[in-house]
Amino acid sequence: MELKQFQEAYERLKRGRRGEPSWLRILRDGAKDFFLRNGFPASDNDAWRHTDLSAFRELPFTPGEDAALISPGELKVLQDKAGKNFILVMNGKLMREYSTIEPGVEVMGLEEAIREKPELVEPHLGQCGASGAEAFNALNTVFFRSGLFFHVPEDMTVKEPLQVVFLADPAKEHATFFLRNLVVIGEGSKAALAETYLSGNGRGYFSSAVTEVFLGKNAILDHVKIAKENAKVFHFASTRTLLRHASSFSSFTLLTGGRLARNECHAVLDEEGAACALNGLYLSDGDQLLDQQTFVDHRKPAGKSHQFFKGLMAGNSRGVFNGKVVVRQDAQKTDAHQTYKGLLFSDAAQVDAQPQLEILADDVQCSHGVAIGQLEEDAIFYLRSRGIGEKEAGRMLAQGFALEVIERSGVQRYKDELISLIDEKLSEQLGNRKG
Amino acid sequence: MTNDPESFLKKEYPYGFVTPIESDAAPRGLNEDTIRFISKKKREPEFMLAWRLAAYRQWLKMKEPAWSSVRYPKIDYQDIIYYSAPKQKKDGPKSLDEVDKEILRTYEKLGIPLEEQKRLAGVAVDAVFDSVSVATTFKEKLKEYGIIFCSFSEAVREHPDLIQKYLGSVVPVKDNFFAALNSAVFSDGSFCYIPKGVRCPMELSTYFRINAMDTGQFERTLIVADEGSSVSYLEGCTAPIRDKNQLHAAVVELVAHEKASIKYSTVQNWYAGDKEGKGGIYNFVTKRGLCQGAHSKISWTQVETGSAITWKYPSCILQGDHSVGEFYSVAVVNNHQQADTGTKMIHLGKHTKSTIISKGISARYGKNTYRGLVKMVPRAEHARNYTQCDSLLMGDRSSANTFPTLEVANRTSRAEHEATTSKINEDQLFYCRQRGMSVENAISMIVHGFCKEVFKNLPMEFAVEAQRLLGVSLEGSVG
Repeated sequence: MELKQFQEAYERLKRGRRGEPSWLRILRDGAKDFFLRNGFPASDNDAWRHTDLSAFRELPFTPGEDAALISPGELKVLQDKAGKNFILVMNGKLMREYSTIEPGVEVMGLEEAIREKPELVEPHLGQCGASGAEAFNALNTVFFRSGLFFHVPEDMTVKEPLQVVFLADPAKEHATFFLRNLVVIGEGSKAALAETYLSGNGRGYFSSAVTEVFLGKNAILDHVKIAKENAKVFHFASTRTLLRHASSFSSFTLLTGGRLARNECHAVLDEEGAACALNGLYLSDGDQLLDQQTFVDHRKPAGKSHQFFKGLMAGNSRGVFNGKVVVRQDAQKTDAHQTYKGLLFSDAAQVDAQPQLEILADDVQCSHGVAIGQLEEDAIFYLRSRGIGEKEAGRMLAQGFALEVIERSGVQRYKDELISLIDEKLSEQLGNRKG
Repeated sequence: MTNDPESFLKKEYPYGFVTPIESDAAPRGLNEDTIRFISKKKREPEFMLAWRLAAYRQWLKMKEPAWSSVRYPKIDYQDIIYYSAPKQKKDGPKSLDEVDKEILRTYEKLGIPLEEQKRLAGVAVDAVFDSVSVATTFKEKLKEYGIIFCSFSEAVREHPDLIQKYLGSVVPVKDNFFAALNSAVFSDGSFCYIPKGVRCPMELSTYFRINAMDTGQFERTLIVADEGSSVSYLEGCTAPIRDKNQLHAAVVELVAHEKASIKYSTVQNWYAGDKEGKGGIYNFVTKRGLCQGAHSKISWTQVETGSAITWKYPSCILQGDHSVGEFYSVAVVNNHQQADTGTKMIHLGKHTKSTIISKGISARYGKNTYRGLVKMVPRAEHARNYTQCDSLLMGDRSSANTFPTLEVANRTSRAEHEATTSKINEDQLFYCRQRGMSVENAISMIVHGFCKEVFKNLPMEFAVEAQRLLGVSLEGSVG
């Protein structure tokens, strides 16, 4: 995708957006200017030094429309599997007929919310710029056409987790999907949200997904994100969260799919006593590049943040982890910890980790740790001495390594589903493993 | 801690004075003529001038890097005097008696017992006063072992073959902006060659001192340890008080052949600027060691307490199989000092090992950054790294950053990194206080404990000095 194509696509889409409110136009124009000024991140950009975009840049992705192909029968199967509070978004469009939502929670397409609920959308949309502007975020702001808007009013507990499946089913190669989700959780409310990104067919596409989360005072949100699109997909996503007084955000991200998948978790602890726990796991093989980025911004006192991420790399794949914690001058009594562990299964696999601490307050407890290695020979020997085959021994140890993140993440209700996803990917990874 | 931060020690930099001696300086500014002037002054062979000029042309094409977290006003490279040498009576002093009395008095004030050095067993000093070596001791003794230890200019004249072979082999001219500048205008420095199988019988050390107004100091150090040899090299510095910032862009290159080991220790206490952050030295240094042969070892130990800005990453390229790289560092920033320091460990050979221990202390407005890279390439099988970076914060205006990068590209290597940031533990402080210690003694003890892992790697002579320096650097900041 070249800047010229970007400009053309922008002009083309602009005509169809006459009905948009002026605040949205200003937001989009600002993002467009930013993108035109800065372009795609270059390799000397510290946040991108390990993530090579050349394969992505070579492909002729052009923002535009796309039609759905999946048959209603297949969708029904998805719906039946999911149960309560299931929301299906296909090629960016909310499929109401396949969705069931608990009363009291407002869920609607973002384009609808912009029209119907401007008083809730305007003050939030695009206002979560945790670490300032960034190229793919700007692209998303310029081009997003759809996505979801969630609103949980004050003092409400949403009993069942909201489960959203984003299904991309492009009719031709090199399609693009720009999804923008906005989640507003009112004061004292509690909810859980799970986002799953799936491909409907084997075509490659560019998927850009930005989810902005606003947590009111004492609000709690448990967030799960699963991205398992096909091996030709380029997935650039970010979840940006703004936490108010004593609110709490916990997230778990599982990345297994995509040719290149980059997931950013940004959390801004904007008021006193907020807490966030970011956890994640990625498993890569073949020529995949999976990239997890985190940014936690402690702005006010007594915040807590815990990060725990792991990566398992096989084949020729690459794993990247870049985690940043900033503790501002006002954020005394901050407690911030971060851990990343990487496991390499093959000689051609690679992992690059960049944990970063920027501390401007003195009364803090901060730490980060990184460990990169491979399966323990002694542990494999132990299992083999008990009559377990080498491959099975490796699988057991790898599974144990992966499960630790789930155990620590408090995502018990998804545990079985996550374990089966991990097992599925692990057998792909280890199947290709030499020796 | 409730003590008034200003309460104890408002000590001015004790080594701040200017020795009034005449300088034989190059005209202000930098162009090819300046470089020809320097080269001519130093009676260098043709190849050296050609090398300098090539470096200068390369430097012109380069841009000053801006990626670090240090901030400073733009440097005007045309407003620097690139060469100054103390006036010499004849060709060069052969013994201490011939050395300018003013210079000797300067050393005495600094507490360098140069005249006692000969009697002091175990330390040979190649003292660099501004840019020219004025005295070298213990040379004869080293000669018996076949060790060459002399000023860089002398090495260029006496051992051009070695210089041509090794100069720029570890830090190439175009490595970075400041290395290129140094390659073009380096004034002097030390050269050391340890022949095959020789263990250097004493600690080698050089004292650097910046003098003469507005003189950039561009040191060049090259140490080569041939097969099976070993050497320990110490470097320490102080500088007079100045209002205008002084640029210091040194290059240190180390080469360790098979089974050789080099230990390079630094205690750096240049003028850090006053309490308002005015003045002080800009210390932009490129230090790199190449473990060329199998089973070779390079160990960097540094105690950085001075300079307004410290910007350096002593690194190891672990090329030989089973080679070992080590980095031990204490960086103290007080008042408005800034330090962006760390290391790079590049694992190229099989079974290579590296250890990084970095301790940063930030007081008052001090800004401390650890920036490091551990890289293990696909063929560096069974490589191993352990990194620990701890930061101690003293004062709510101080800051500490930790930016390590780990790149592992094979499945038999292991890398571990741990970092913590906190202030002095209240419980520890309370415990010491409750045993009747004063606040400052308690803090001093805790800080020494924090740095102990690094200090224990310093040679004896430096360990004592380093502890004293740490105390002086932090005085007036705790509370």
